Amino acid sequence: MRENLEREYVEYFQPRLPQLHRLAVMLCGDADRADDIVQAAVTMLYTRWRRVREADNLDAYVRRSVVNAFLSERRRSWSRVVLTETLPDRPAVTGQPVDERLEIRAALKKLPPKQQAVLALRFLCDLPVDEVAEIVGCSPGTVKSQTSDGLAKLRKQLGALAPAGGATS
Amino acid sequence: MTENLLSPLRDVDIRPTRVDLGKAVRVGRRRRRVRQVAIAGLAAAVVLATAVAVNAVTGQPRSMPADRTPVPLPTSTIAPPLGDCTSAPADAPYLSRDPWVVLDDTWRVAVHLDAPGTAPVEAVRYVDGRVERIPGVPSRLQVALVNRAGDFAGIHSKVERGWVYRDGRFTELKLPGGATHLSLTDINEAGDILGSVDTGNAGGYEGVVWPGGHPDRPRLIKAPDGKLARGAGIAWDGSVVGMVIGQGTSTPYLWHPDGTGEPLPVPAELGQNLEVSNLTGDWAVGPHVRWNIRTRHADVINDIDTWSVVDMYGRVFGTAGKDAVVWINGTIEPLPAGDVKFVRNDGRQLLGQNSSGTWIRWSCG
Repeated sequence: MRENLEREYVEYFQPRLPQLHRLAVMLCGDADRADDIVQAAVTMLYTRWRRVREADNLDAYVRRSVVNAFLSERRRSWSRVVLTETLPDRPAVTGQPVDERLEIRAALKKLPPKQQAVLALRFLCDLPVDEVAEIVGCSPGTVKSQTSDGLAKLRKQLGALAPAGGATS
Repeated sequence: MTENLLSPLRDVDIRPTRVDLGKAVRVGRRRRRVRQVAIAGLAAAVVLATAVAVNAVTGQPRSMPADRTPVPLPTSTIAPPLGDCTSAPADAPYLSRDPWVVLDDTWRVAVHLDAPGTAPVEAVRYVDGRVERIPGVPSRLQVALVNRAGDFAGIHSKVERGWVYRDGRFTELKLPGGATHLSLTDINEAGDILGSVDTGNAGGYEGVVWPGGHPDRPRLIKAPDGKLARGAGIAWDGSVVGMVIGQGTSTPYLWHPDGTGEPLPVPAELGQNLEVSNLTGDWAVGPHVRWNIRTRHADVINDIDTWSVVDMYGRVFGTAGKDAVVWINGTIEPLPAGDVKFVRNDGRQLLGQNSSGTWIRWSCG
């Protein structure tokens, strides 16, 4: 890649890394994994930067790449885990009260990956239905049905954690 | 309110990102170099393979023999030990296309799309290390599945249309009446494609099978009691394993090749809502559970995380915390160091990257 393209690439991404990282954290719930997801996405985008930079909506394209990296990771189930030569020590179980966030994140992780992405983009990143549809590559109607279906599953799993009366999307 | 349901996840302190743009540039440069070398090699191969290309354009069968025989499966339900694993650099050119390359279960075939320069998009198919470039790729196709015969399938990026490439031509996957969107889940050696379609049913997508060679004959998977069927994997004989979903429950289910089905056993300690996530050979797995679809036996898997992969011997690969492990006959064993991304169907080959981003192949046993 020519030097000016590389400079343009860095100048584009450097200020956007925090928001891309936040997007990935909202998707996967883990800052370390989020780093891996964004690292994979920006590396891929480097190899295609000459064409990617011509996209009509570059920011949306980049967000979609991050979501694709997340979905790709989930498809491979247990990938992106950096292993060590020896097993690390594990903390003993201490009987700490369960963090509500862990409960919700665990429930979210039980949903199909694309449904997780839809809910995270809608309610954690506050993106409108049409934009979510473009990012995950489906129709707005599908986003709505996936949202409804996903929320219903979440409410069921969370049980008492969900507020009485529930809600619609 | 919906916001109340998920809002605790928003209110988190996120540490500064550790994404390294310099590393992205270094790794990206390396991938581009690998691709350029591959393309240069391909150019010579394309000249020599003009006849093959003509066949592709005219829709005639390609030179590659399509091996659609089932993979021989072990008869014992006791898995052999994985043995020691050794690592060596992996240089398959398609690895530079991760995560947009798809591999069949046996790693005989890999497929990705390519559009060098301003040229039209082509599919690049690797069979036993031999490379073919396949023109005529449908617009905005995203390749999702490939089998060891080289059949591959994908969907339009707007998920309203799907195609299969088989016997030298792309053919559209017909949607069942009323269906508007589709997704693809699995493909077996015979080319039977398992997917799901949006039929407008309030419950969500419904499972569907396109029989191998008959993309115009989609068959919706039937669930009892008006519930929804959703497949997770399709076996060599067309058996489908998945879930029956409805009335707030998800029941593991096995559909036979004739379309009839039966629930899979649910271990009492796991409750009534179980998912099935994937199938290899006779083994299906879901969170904390493994089934043999021939014996219908279920095993509870403790100490391994939800999303896992099973090999043809029933060994389950997954994570325990942040450690990658393999579950063999009820015992957890650690896996070698690395960032593992692909597991071959026999479990003896793993592909991944080391800490510097170099692709490594681990050979076990």
